[in-house]
Amino acid sequence: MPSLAARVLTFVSLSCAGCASGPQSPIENKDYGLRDGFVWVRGPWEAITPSAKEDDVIDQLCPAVMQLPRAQGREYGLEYCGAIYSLNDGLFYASQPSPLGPVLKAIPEKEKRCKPPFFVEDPRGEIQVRADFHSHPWAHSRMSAADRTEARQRYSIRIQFDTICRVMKLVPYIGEPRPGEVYERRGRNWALLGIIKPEHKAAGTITPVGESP
Amino acid sequence: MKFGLLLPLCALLQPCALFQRSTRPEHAPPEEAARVQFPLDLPADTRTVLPGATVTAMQLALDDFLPLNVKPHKDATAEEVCLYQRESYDVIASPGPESTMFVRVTLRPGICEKHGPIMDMEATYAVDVAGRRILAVQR
Repeated sequence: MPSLAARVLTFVSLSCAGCASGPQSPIENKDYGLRDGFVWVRGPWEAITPSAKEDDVIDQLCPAVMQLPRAQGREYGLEYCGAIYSLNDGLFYASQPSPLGPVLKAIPEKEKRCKPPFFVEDPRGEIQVRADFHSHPWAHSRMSAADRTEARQRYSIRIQFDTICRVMKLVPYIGEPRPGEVYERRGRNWALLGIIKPEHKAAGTITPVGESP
Repeated sequence: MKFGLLLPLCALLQPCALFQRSTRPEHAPPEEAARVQFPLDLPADTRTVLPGATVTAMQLALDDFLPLNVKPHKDATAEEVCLYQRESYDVIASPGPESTMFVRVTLRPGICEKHGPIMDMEATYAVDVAGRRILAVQR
């Protein structure tokens, strides 16, 4: 049995190591990585059956993503980001999800942020990205205001879901005078929760439907 | 307690008092302070007035979100270093019931995100201003 002094020394060493080490970053692999700092992902993701209806692809995403490591990890969880795209063959595909993103040691919910893919790699044809998607490692967690801001939109649709598979959809209509739309998936339908007026697109502020337009 | 025992105890406690972390910010040395020129008054067209309760709530939220003494971790990227700076964020407040204030700390678009947007770079707090505590953090 180790002496008291040895045990104290071990404890102090482990404590110091814990203080010195930084947060653990997700690591690039064959399915996703960084190119000049931008995230690329491989497609298609075999866990998702392609479909001519994008909603059929969207409905498969959350259950599949929630099987990934730490996808439901709450404080110690990971977000996953991916893309929905087409190849001009009439079908929508989902890319592999990527947890790549910055890691910070102090900000609440550390290690959970991902970056939507900038590039999708699928050698079978010309890729048109329709939407990005990302998960939250919490239950009852909706799309954040930051993710609704105009400056953070790259594609026509943004999908977000949480650990209980509550799915939200943002249609930002960037560059158009019409308002953006925020939906929640209910059964096989999309329920309109609110709009983002053109003058609120910069901040992504939602006006709930039913209030004055 | 005998006086002979009290003396060593005081000697042990004194250094602890000295090492307590001050909540006040560092002040510049006198020679640097002497170079500062204050205006006759704070210009009316550029001043910002915030109620004390709002500032208190914002400060409590910021102290939780990004404590001032936190330094970037080893091997942090330029993007991560930027994310550690409070100046990279906007703070939005909205009054809630009783002495509650809702405070959102959110990353300003285009400041740090040089390689595409980052999801969920914000936190929204419910702050009990009178109690000086965080009531809840929205997930």
